[in-house]
Amino acid sequence: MNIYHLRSITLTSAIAVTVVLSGCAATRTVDPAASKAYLDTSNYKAIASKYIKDGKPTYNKESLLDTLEAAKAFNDAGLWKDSRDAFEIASKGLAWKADTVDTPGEIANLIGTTLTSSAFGAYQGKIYEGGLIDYYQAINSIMLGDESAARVDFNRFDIRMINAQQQFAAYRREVSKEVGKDTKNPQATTFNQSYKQIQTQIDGGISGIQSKRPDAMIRNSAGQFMSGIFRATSSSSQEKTADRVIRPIDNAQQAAATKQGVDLSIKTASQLRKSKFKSTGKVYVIYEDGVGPSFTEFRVDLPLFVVSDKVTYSGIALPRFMPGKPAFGYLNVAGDQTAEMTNITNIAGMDFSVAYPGIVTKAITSTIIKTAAQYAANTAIDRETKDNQLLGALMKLGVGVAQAATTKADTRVWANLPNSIQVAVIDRPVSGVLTVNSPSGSKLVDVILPSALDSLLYLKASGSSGIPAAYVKALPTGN
Amino acid sequence: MKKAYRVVLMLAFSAVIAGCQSMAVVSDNPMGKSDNSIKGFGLETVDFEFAAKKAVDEFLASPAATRSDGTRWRVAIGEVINDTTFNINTKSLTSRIRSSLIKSGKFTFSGFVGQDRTTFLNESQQLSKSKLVDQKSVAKGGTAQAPNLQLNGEIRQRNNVSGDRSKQSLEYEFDFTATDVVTGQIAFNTLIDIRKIGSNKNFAW
Repeated sequence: MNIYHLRSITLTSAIAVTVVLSGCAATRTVDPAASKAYLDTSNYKAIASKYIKDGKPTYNKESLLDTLEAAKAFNDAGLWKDSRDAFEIASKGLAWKADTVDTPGEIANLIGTTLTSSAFGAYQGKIYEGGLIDYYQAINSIMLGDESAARVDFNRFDIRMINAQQQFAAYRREVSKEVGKDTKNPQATTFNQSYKQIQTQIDGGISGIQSKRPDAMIRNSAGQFMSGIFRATSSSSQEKTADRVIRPIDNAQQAAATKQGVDLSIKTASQLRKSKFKSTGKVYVIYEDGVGPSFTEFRVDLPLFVVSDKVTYSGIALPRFMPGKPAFGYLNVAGDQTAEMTNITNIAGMDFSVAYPGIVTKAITSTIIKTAAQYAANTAIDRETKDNQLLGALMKLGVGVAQAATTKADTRVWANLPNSIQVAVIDRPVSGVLTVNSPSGSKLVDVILPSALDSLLYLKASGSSGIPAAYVKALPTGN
Repeated sequence: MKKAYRVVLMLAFSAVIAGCQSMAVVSDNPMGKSDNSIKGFGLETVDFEFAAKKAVDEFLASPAATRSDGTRWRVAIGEVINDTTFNINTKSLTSRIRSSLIKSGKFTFSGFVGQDRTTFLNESQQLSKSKLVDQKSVAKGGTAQAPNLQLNGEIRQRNNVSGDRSKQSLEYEFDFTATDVVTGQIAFNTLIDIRKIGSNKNFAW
C-alpha cells in the first residue's frame, strides 16, 4: 500500500463514517423552523399535537434531543403526565456527571466526529439541560398533585445545581487542556498558521454572547427559588426549617439574572423567616417568556499551507450563537411585575463560550486532515487521468464535494426552551381572581384561583401575538 | 492488508470500551452482603428489611413498648416522608414494621385513621340504616377506638463526593418516632443508617 492509497482511505473512511453516523444524529419529530408560526402566538397545544399520533405520545425515544423537545412541548400544553414520562426518559440520557469523555458512547461519538462533524453524532446534552430536566419534572409533579414525587424531583434538582458549578469549571479546564494538546501536536505549525489568519472571522461565532459571568450563574435561579417555596408550601411540618426553605432561596439570590430577581429572593426569604418558614396566603407565579437561543452555521475559508491548485475545497463550518428573543419581556400580575430569575440565553451562552475553543480547534484539525487526504486523492486522479483532463477535473470536483459534505457545523439546540424564567409572589386576592396584564397595561387573562391557602400560577408566552397559556394549582400548605 | 488493519482497529476499540466499566456500588448493610440483588445506589428490599427489623427490635427492647396497664398500644401510622432522590413507596417499610409489631402481641393498628385508614368503617356504619341487615350484627356508634400512639418517620439522604471526585457516597437515614397521643410526648425514637459507595461518573439515580 503506498502513501497515496493510505490518504485516500482516510477520505473514504470519513465519507463512510458520515453515512453511518448520519443515523446516529437522528431525525426530529418537529422541525423547529416549522413551529415558528405557532410559537409567535403561544399556540402550545398545536406544537404538542405534533408529538401525538393515534392518541399516543410519539417521539424518538432513542434521541435525547427529540425526547427533550417532546417533553417540553407536553409541559407547555399542560399535558403533565406525558411530559413527566418523556423527561424521565431524557433524564437517563443526561445522567453523566464526569467532565471527561470516557464513557463508551462519548468515545464513539468523538472518534466518529473528529473526522467529520459533531453534527453527525448523537446529541450529548449540556450541563444546564440536566438541571432543567429535574426542574420541569418538579413542576410536572406539582401540577399532578404528586407532592412526594415533587420532593424527589427537587432533591435531584438541588444536587444537579451543586454539581453544575463544579462541572462547568471542570469542563472549562478540560476543553482548555484538549485545545492545548492539539496546538502542540506535529501538525501544530500548519494549525497555528491557519488559525492566526482567520481569528477575526472565527470570533463571529460568539459575538452574540455578552461578557463573562461568574460560574454561579450557570445555575437555574428560578428553580432554586421554587425548591425553597416547595418546602414552605408542602404538607410536611418537618420541612419547615431554615436549611430546607431559606437556603435554596439564598442560593437563588446568588444566581439571579437581574437585580429584581435578587430583591425578590431577599424579600421572600425575609417574609418566610417571620412566618416560621411556612407560606401564608400567597400566589407563586412562574412566567416563561420568549424563545431561547439557537445557532446558525457560518463558513470560513481556511488558508492552509499544504495545499496547492490540486485542492478544490478547504474550509471550516462553525456554529454562530444567536441570542433568544423575549415575548412580552415581563408581565404585570395584580400590579406586581414578574422578576427575571433565570436567563436561558445567558446560561447557554456561558456553556457555548467555554465549548467554542474546542469546537474551533476540532474543525481546523479535521480540515487539515481531510484536505491532506484530498490533495493525495487528487494527485492519484491526475496520474490516472493524464490523457483525459475533463474526466480528471470532474473526479477532483467530486472529491471536493465529498469534503464539503462532511464539513458541517453542529447547530442543534433544545429548540423550545424559553428565553427567561421569571417569578412573582403575590398576596392572595380576597376576590380569588388574579388579573394578568401586559407591560402596556392591556389585560391578557383573568385567572380564577383554587380555594387553597397557597397556589401556583404557571404562565407561558413564547410570542406576544397570542394570549399566554395559564395553568393554576392549589399547593398543599397546611393539609 | 486492509482486512488485517480493520481487525486490529476493532480489537483496540473493544479493549477501550471494555476498560470503561464503572466501579460496583458497595453497601454497608450487613443483610446485603449475602444477597444477590442488583447493587445500585437506590434502596432495595434488603435495605427495607434491615431498617424495619432494627427499628422494631430496638422499640421492643425499650420500656416504651410495654404499657403499664398491660393493654396493647393502639397505633396509627402517620406521616412517613421520603426525602431522597429516589421514588420510594414508603409502605415497603411501614408494612414490615406493622407486621412485626402486631406479631409481638403488644400493638394493634388503626384502620380508622392514619396511613392505614380504610373506608370500611364508615361504610359499615351505613349498614345501620339498611332494613336488610340484622342490626344486632352492626357495630354500634361510639365503639371505634382512637389510637393512642402515632408512628412517624422520615427517610433522608446525604450525598458526599471524594476529594478526587472519583467516588460518591449516599448516606441514608431512617428516622422513626413513636409519640404518645394522649400526653404528646415522644415515647421512642431511633436513627438507622445505611451507606452506599460507588462511582461518581453518573448521578446516583
